Amino acid sequence: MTDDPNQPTPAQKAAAKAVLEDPDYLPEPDDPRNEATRDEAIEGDD
Amino acid sequence: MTYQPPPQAQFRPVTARSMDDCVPTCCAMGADRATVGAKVVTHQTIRNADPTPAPGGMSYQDAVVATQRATGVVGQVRFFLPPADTLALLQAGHALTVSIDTHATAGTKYATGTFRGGHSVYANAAVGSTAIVKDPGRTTSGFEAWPWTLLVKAAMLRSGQRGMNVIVWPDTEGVSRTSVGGPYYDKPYRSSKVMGSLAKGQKVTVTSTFNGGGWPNLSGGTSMGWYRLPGDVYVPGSGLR
Repeated sequence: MTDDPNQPTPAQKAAAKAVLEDPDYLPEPDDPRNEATRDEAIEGDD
Repeated sequence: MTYQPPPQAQFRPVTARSMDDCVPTCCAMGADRATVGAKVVTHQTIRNADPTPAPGGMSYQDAVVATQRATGVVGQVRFFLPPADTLALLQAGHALTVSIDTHATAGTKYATGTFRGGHSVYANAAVGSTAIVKDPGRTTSGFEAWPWTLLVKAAMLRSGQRGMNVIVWPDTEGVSRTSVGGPYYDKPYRSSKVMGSLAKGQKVTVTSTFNGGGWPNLSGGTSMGWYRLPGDVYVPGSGLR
């Protein structure tokens, strides 16, 4: 499919697909890990 | 090669929510990348689409809903990913929003100023042993090559060493897309030779994406994302969905 040596290989594509389909990493209802992703406020740096 | 969207910052534009808008800013870059420049919004637009408006930072699950509402782009939240699996996503062509603790980057050139705490950064791609990262809290910096080990350290610190929490943006490399109808070119800029026209609804295979010549996007600005198709012909980001 690709002729660019820097492009993902079929094996890399398959590996990513497997990660996304792995149920161990999926969010659960009312997942407490989701609340932990709320970031803290930061000050501007300009 | 992978298209890299323009870097965005949570204080550009400055809004009443800028201090808390690292996640929406990362999502705006994720949407731009996923559409190769066709959908360009700022953190303000993502924040305004928050399904559960509340003070403070936006959670990843709310951010995914807000981004879909604002742009149509669907991100996927994943929790406690092993670093190797997170790297696999980047290597396959996905961009990521990554949850980090900036205590891990303090004292390095990647520090988010003097801020120490929970933050998010946008990773556009992996190149060798580095991740190409834009920190939304560093207003004037562009994309930087973070050591992959540093991004892992910062993400693992945030989760208590239990894995990396991310939003996964749609893959853009070596994928199938649908034409909205329009020309394809022999080079990635609009003044080059038109080689033909794709029909609306025509399925095409994308070889790769990258930054080329400018074209007007629907947000009133200029985007530079291009798709490369088999046969070395090129379509601007607005030409496929």
